[in-house]
Amino acid sequence: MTKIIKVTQGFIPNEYDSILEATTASAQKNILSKSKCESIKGKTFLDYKFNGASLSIHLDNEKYLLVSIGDKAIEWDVVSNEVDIQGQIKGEDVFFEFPNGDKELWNWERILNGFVGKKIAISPSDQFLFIYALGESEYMFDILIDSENLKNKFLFISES
Amino acid sequence: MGMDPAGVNPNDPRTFNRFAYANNNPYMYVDPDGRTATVLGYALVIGTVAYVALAADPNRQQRIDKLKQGFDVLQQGWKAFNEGGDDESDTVQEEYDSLDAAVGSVDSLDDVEFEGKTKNRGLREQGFTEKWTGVDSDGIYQSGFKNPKTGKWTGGHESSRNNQNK
Repeated sequence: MTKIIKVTQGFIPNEYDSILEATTASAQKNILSKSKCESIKGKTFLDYKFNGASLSIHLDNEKYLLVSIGDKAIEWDVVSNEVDIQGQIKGEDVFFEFPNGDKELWNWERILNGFVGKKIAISPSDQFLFIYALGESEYMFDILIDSENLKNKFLFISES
Repeated sequence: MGMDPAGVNPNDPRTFNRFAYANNNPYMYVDPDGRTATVLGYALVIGTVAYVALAADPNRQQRIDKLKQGFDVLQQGWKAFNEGGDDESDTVQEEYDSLDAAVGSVDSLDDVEFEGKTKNRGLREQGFTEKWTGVDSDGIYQSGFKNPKTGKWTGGHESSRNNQNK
């Protein structure tokens, strides 16, 4: 069954006057977590658990990348112990309808399955998190909010 | 007002009275923390020299910005220290030789080029329809999204092109 959910973006992106200012702001915000990115760079994506709002990615160095919905940004962390992801969802045909009328399939299962078995890396900005496999397209995590029920938030992954 | 916590200096009889402020000469000395009297003139001279040097520096705004960035980093470090945590990842593992090396790791971007329209609908909804990538003097690729109507940028990050070019 196909479901259509009207959404808006979960937060207003920070604005900067130049690309250098934008990248500097991200570098400053993430200076303390740079080592976390390095700890999983080039590691193989083994499997994942996802409940629509939180994602746990298991890597072959027994680290877990956790990605979840924050207040005005994507929250993420790298931990050594598996975190239980409650209420995992199965892939179903959910389309997000954006304010301009554009619709996009919530394609998380195809995208995440596409990473399995590949060496990955992540790169945070000041609000978003980007993930990519060697030589392939870059994807980004974003937050969408159900326009008709603001409590419903979705961790959205799409090509950047 | 209380007893001087710095103790007595046997070579300076003025320190024998541990309740005296600024060697009993506040015109000549200052003693902001109650421990050691310092010649007031030195503080004024150092402050004046620093002010004049900064005012005359054509790059003063950049230096002020760097100082602000450094202060932000110190605040982040202090916050992380206070919050503590059990996870090993809370430990600061990156070390730099200087403040510039820490906060200035993003060098000026040369050869910033238009990469294409972003495929993220959320960003497009907000007007950030273009994706651009630049490379700095260390060969590090940085990407960001631009709103062509306002000229504003968002989402700056180290680009996947780093990965692709290895």
